[in-house]
Amino acid sequence: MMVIGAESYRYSDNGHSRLWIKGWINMTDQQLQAALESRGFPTELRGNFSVIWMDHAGNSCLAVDHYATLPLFYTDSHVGQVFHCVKQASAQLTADQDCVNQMAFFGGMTVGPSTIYQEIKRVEPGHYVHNGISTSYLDILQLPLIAYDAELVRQSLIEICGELPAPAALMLSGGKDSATLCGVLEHLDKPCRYVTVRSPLQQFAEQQIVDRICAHHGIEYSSVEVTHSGAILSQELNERFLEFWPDNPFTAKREAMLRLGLGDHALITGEVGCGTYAVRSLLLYAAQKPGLTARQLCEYMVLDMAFYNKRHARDTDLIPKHHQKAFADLVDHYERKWLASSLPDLQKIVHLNTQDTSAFRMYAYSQDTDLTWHHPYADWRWVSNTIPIHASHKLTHRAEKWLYVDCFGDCITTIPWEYPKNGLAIPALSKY
Amino acid sequence: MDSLSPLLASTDIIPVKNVLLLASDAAARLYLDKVYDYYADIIVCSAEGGFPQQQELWQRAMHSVAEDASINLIICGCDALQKVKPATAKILILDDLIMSDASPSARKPGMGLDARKVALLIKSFLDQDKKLKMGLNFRDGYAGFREWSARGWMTDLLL
Repeated sequence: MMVIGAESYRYSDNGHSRLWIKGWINMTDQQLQAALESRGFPTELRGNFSVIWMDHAGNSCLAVDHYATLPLFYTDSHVGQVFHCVKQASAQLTADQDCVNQMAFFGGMTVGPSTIYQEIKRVEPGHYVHNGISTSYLDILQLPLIAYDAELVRQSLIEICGELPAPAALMLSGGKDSATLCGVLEHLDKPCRYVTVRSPLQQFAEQQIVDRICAHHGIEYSSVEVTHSGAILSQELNERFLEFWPDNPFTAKREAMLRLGLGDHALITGEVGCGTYAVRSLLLYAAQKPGLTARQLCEYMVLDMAFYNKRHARDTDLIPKHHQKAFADLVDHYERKWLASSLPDLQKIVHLNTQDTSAFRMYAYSQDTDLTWHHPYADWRWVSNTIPIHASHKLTHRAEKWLYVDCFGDCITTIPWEYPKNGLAIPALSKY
Repeated sequence: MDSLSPLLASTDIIPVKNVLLLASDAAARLYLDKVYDYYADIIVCSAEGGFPQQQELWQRAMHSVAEDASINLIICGCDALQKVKPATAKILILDDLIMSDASPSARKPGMGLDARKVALLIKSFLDQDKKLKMGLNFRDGYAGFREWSARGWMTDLLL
């Protein structure tokens, strides 16, 4: 019997992927299940983790954390085959066209246990798989509401940032999430390099915001020009990453860090902060559309994400025929989540896809075989102190992501709130 | 609220940034039915007071129209201006565009507006803030602009 956990997955020097055992825990599968379901977690598994438990009789239990920060994949037939990425599977594989369509339709994102291969499933965020049966142990739409305590929220991020190893480097996009981390790191007087990425093909100039943030804190930063997000990884990594999920700005960040020679640094990102909460248009839609049902709201949300460009939202004629089933499956998925939760509607709207979106965003970083990425907003201490707060404290009418200002107002700048920016906009190669 | 109440009753977290002001409840309801699905990031506000259905949001929206010089305001039916005088200068009035389409005269062709085009027009107007603050990189080769196959002479006006 063994349990392997806590940032377990690295790769061997000879290029063959393997599981790297971080720690061992002597416990039964029932004890492991009980620990997960009580959200107490074994001490060794605090933070971001994946767990593989097996015994000689063939019993097994696989588990990933709330955002599947360190993903696990397994075969249908037996869980003896467990992988960190789908490319590690050696068996003859059959494409799952529904999943491929779902990915194409949903901006590269999948939900549920499916993968692009029929024989392989993924352990969903907040789930464990015991002898092949998947069970949710941590659904953020099921977390009971807690009282808002700005000091607790503040201390949780300060604690997380304080524990980040040195030397460290933070990716600055000019957005609110990374600017808040910058403020906290400076508040802690933690030595850190600051890095931003720019592209001559960028639609908007974002570096001016980074300029102002760094001037505010009196710090210097490095700016790296990367033309495209996308195929700039090693061939092996490109195959593993792009085959399952499409290119995204992760690759531009990675390129910047490597070019600056920061491969030995703890690389910090502002991923999965308040940006994974619902956008204003979804709230407005829910507040204004007469007679709106939960299913219609889910349809709107899925289309809004799929088309990204909001002017096409709910125009189902624009969905290609071969994507119609994927669309229906996704709407079903979110309607089920909605109906299963007893939280106030506002809370459900704000966090309906937070867990899936976060898992999607974490995936790319988890596949990096060379660099060590840290995502303070993915840490359970941050998640458990922010997600269950009533949404009215997180999204106030003053501005989006106001939680940061409320909790860290004395150590961050509000410069990012002056700009209507969203996300790091390095053009993706696959789109052009 | 009636049986067609919206899903979300509490609206105090919603910021007022973009407002579409219509003269009547009937017009606001028509807009919500026909156009709103194509672009949702706007508060659809009837000068008569029926929409938004939540009074709290209606009052904040109307207050912002009257007092806030920073909001984006779109007016559809200028009769609404009899009820409120806008504080902002960032205003787009749709009346002429809609009436041009309604004209029976072949010598006065309109834009051929439909719900999606109206939504696109509104979205384009509301996105101006971003362009004013962050620029728009066509000249240096924004890839989507250079390589879209449908690009015609009109896009050269942007260079």
